[in-house]
Amino acid sequence: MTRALVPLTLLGRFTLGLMRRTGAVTLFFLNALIRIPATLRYPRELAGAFLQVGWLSLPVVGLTAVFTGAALALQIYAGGSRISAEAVVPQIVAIGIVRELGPVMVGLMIAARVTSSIAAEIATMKVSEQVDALVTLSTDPMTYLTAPRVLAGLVTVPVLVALGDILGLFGGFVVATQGLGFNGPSYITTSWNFLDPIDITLSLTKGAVFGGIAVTLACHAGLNAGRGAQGVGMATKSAVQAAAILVLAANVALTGLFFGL
Amino acid sequence: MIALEHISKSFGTKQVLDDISLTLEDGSSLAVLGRSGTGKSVLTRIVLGLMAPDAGRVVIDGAPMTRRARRGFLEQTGVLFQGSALFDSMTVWENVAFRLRNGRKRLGRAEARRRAEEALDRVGLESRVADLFPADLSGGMQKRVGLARAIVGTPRYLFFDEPNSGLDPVTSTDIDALIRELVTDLGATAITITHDMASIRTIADEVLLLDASRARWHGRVADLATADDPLLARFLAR
Repeated sequence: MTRALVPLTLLGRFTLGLMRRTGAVTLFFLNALIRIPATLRYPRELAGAFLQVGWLSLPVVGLTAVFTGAALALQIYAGGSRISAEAVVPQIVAIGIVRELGPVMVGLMIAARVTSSIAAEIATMKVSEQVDALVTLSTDPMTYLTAPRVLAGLVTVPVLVALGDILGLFGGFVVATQGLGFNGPSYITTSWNFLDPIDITLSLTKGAVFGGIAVTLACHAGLNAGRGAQGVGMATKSAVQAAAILVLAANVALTGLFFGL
Repeated sequence: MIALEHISKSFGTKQVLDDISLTLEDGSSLAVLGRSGTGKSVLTRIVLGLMAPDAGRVVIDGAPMTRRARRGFLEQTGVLFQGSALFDSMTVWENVAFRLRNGRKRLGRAEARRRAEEALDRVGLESRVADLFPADLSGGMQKRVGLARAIVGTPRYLFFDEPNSGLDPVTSTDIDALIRELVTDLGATAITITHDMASIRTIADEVLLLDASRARWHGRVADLATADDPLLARFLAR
C-alpha cells in the first residue's frame, strides 16, 4: 500500500466502524422494543426505571429550563433593542424554548445524568458477573435491564420536555414582566397565540427520540463494557459522548423533517 | 449427564481450548484444575451457554444444547460465581429468592421468603441477615448467600467458580465442607473451578487438569497420588 492511500484507508476503517456500531445499536434498540410487553413481568424494575429516568431528573431539568428561558428573554430583549424590536420577546422566547432549547436542553441533561448513571450501573453489573448471574437464573438481561429503561426513556422524556417547555416559558415570563416591563396577561396571550400545534408536536417528538437515544446508548455501552473499573469508565464515557452528539444531530434532522427543509 | 464433545475456543489468535471432550455422569463432582489463563472459566461458560464454542458441542442428557434446551438446563442449574455476583440493589433474601420470584413458576412474596430463609439456614446463615444488603456482609458470608441462591431451586447441576478465592483458610474449609454436603444431599452433578488441592479432595470425585489449551489429565481423585504427571505433581506438592 502506498503512503498516499493511508488516509483513505483510515477513513474507510472509521466509516465501516461507525456503520457497524450504528447497525449494532439499531438492532439493540429493536430488540429492546420487542421485549417491552415482556418487561411488564418485572414491575419493580419498570417502576425503578421510570423513577431513575423521569422523576429524579425533574429538579435538574426544571432548573435548567427556568434559567435558559430567563437568559433567552434577556438576550432577545438586548438584541431586539438594537433594531427597536423589543416587543418580540414573548414570541421568540416561546418559539425558541418550545421548538429548540426546551427539548435540546432536556436531551443534553438526560444524556449527562441518565446516560451516565445507567451505563455505569449496567457496566458494573457486567464486570461483576451480575449480568451472567441473571442469565443463569433464567432471566434475559435485555428484558430485565434494557427494555424497562428504554420504555421509561420513550415515555418520560417527552413529559420532561413538556415540563421543561412550561418552566422555560415561565423563566422568560418572570424576567420579562419583573425586569423588562412587559404586561403579564398580554405576554401570556402573545406567547400562546404565536405557538402552532406543530411546534408542540415537534417538541414532544424530539423528547421521545432523545430519550430513546440516551437510554439505548447507555444500556448498549453497559452490556458491552470491558473488564474492570477501566471498562466501566470507558463504557460510561463513550455512552455520554455518543448520546450528546446524537441528540444534537437528531435535533437538526427532526427540525428539518418537520419543516420540510 | 453432561458431555462435552470436541470443544475448541479461540480469542483472536490465542487458542484457549483445543478439542476438549469429557463426560460427566449424573451425581458426580468434577474439579477443573489448571494454571491461570488455561481456559477453566471459558470451559464453564461454554457449558452454561454464556459463551459459544468455535467448534464442538455440549450435550445434556443425550440432547445437544440448543437455545430451547439451554433454557431448560439453566432452570435446573445453580451457579456460585467467583465474586458471588449478588445483586447490590436487593436484600439478601431477595437475592436468594430471585429465581423463585422471577422464574417460570412464580412464588408469592411470603412463600419465596420462607424458602429463601430455609436456604440461608442450610448454608449456616441466620435469618437476621435476610434483610441486609450484600454490601453489609463479609466475603465469606457473601459466598454463603451465593451458595444459598445456587441451591434454592433444588438444582440438578451445580457450578462453582473458585469458591474459595479471597477467603481465609478456616472459612475456605467451611465452604468446601458445605459444598460437599450440598452436592451429596441434592444428588447434583457439579463442576468446580479451583486451584486448591485441599478443596479438590473435599469437593470432587474427578479432576480435569487443563494445560496449554488441552485436557492434560483426567481421572478420579483417588488416583491423584499415583498419577504420573509433572504438572499435577507440582499442584499436589503445594
